Amino acid sequence: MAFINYSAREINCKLVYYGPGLCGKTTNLKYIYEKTAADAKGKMISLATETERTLFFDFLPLSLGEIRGFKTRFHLYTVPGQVFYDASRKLILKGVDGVVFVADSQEERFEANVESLENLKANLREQGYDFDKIPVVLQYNKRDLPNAVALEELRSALNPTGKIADFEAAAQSGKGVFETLKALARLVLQELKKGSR
Amino acid sequence: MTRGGLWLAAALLLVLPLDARSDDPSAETVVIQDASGRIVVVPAKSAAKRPPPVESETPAAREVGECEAHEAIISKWLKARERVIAAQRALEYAESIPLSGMGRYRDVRIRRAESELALAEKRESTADTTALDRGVPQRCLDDSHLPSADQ
Repeated sequence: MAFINYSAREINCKLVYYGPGLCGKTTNLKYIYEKTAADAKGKMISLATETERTLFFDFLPLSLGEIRGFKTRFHLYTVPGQVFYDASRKLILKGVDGVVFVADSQEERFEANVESLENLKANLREQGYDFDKIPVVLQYNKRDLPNAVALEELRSALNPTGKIADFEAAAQSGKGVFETLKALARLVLQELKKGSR
Repeated sequence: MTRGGLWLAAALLLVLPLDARSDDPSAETVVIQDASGRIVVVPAKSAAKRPPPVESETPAAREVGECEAHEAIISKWLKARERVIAAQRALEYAESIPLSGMGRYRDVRIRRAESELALAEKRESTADTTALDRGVPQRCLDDSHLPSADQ
């Protein structure tokens, strides 16, 4: 749930990057961090192993301008993708305002994507959220790799109704990274406006 | 031999010259443990210049120390983050206190929560997290760095 600090005129939102292991969640955050002006970002914290596998989460505070006199601060988190760390993922989803589901386009990761999406739905349900109502954006990452599955195939498995906004990306080069983030930020702010009515 | 016993033996080796009967002090050699933890024989003179290795400086102990230090940094930063979230919730609660009849109490709670939040945010932003940039060493993720039961 977003936190609104009326005296400081700030809105704090929590966005979580979810997806199977090695799909590129941390790469998304690193790219955002690199390309954001110093005064708009805080310290990026990675609780990772020395081999750069996310151990607990990555954390990046970002300022995304003002809305009706309120500064918007987005706290970006990633979850550890490895199946083993489910307890951490549940913890990180607490108080979430929006989710980016990062899918790995590689053929051999097809099943892992489906499993991870199911895991996201189950964990959200456990926290009292409805996957169909919470702001969610899908990102098909690693589109630049030669073994990437056809987009339609991925869509039919992960976004069969087509109701979720989805983006193609190659996070290493930055393609689609900001488009995904902007789309989710927009959805979260729309949701906030609904709530304030 | 227990780990304590090993250290005692190593410490004794440090102070006992190998050739105590030699008249020429420069000919004296001692057994010491070098920086990498190897047992080596060196002239007593040069050994005297070296500070005695303490347990925390040896490789095994250093590994345990590194893991603990890493854990401490992570938990310190996580606490700082938790504190920010708690302060945000406290402020939210204070702002939800009804104005009518409780206005003064509400103001006090809001002021207190605001200063707590400012402090928590400052603590979080100034926490030294540079050690996290290197990532948690793999050995800290399993139990291999912990002393085994017989030690």
